[in-house]
Amino acid sequence: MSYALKEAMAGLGRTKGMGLISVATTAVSLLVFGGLLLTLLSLYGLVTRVKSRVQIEIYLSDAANREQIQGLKRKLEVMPEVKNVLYVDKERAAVEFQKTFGEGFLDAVSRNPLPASLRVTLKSGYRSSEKIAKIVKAVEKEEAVEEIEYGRQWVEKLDRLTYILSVAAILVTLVVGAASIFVISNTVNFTILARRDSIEIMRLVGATDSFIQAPFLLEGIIGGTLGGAIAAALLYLVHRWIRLRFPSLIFAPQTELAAWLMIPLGTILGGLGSRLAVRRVLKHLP
Amino acid sequence: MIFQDFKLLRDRNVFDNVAFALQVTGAKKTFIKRRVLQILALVGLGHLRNMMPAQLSGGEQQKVSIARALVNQPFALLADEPLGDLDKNAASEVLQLLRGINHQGTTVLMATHDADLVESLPYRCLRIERGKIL
Repeated sequence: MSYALKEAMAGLGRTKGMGLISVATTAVSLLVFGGLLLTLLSLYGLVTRVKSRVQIEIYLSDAANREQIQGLKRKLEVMPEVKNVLYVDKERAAVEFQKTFGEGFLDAVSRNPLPASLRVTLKSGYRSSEKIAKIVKAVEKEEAVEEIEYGRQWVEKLDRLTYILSVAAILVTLVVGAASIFVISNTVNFTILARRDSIEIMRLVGATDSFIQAPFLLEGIIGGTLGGAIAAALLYLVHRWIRLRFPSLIFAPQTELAAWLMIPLGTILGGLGSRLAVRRVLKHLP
Repeated sequence: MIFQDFKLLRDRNVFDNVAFALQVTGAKKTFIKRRVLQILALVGLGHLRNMMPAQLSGGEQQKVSIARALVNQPFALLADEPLGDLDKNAASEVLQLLRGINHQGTTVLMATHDADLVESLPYRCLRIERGKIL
């Protein structure tokens, strides 16, 4: 093992320029991949945060009695989509109204015209227009209900945006990920093909295939990890800079994690790429 | 086994080229060092141990490959046209080395196209034509 590690380090030095190109290619590929992934995750985080503000406001008829309101509240609370239900009475509605629109408006009228309402907050997985429509349908015929409001157009737009972002994230992961794998494995392949003669001689001198492969595998792992670490560090710095400069822009806490993910990704791609390349060379030797 | 084109690892020095044949057997580092220096002294290349193959003459490179073949103490040495790529002086030196190795008890089986060389040597000779021993 110590021989393989020593050889791997020596190998990176021996190939000089090529080792550097391999590390740089890995870094750039993972930087592009990670950058896109981070951007999408941030956007996704932003949309999710906006969606968390989605609420259903069920305005109650002034004629509704206490039992009807309690019954409706209980009916909502047992629904799997509902996180909590808050009863906003007429007085509180007036206070909220005054907070938003200023005092004076309500003074013009002799009695409080604002209806009491039930404010329904949804669980995170259920904030789609489809789920909301289901809840609305279940309670709209209730006697106590006057009107239901939830910013339908808004929610539908957010739904569409979430869908587009999810599809984009999957596509980016697949297409850019595959392109990165292709570029990295080809570069590693190239550096190993350049040492094809050495591999042939090693075999002629009596080295077993695993003895030949070990240093190349380690070299790929070290080079890949180094490339991944460079990409991760750059992504982290850019991420941090944006976060400090535009604090409201990045919301998803997992974005930082995605940056560090580039390190194991580099390790795996570097190792796998070199393993496949050496095996290919060994297979074609006489 | 030694070859006409030496087949040395171009990216490592003389010592490491010879040491490689022992490393693949899993020999200990201290043993490798002692044995490689011994064998390099035997072929007369001890002073060139830190040189890269590209810095050596053809005769010297062939001697390195002979050292690599001998380092594991084989009972027989197979030499495929070992003098083919060498000039007259270098060929004569390598031939002397192979004869010395033979005198020390190692069988040397050498393939060559040089009929004059074969006739000038007092050893058993097998002639092969179209894959058949004549």
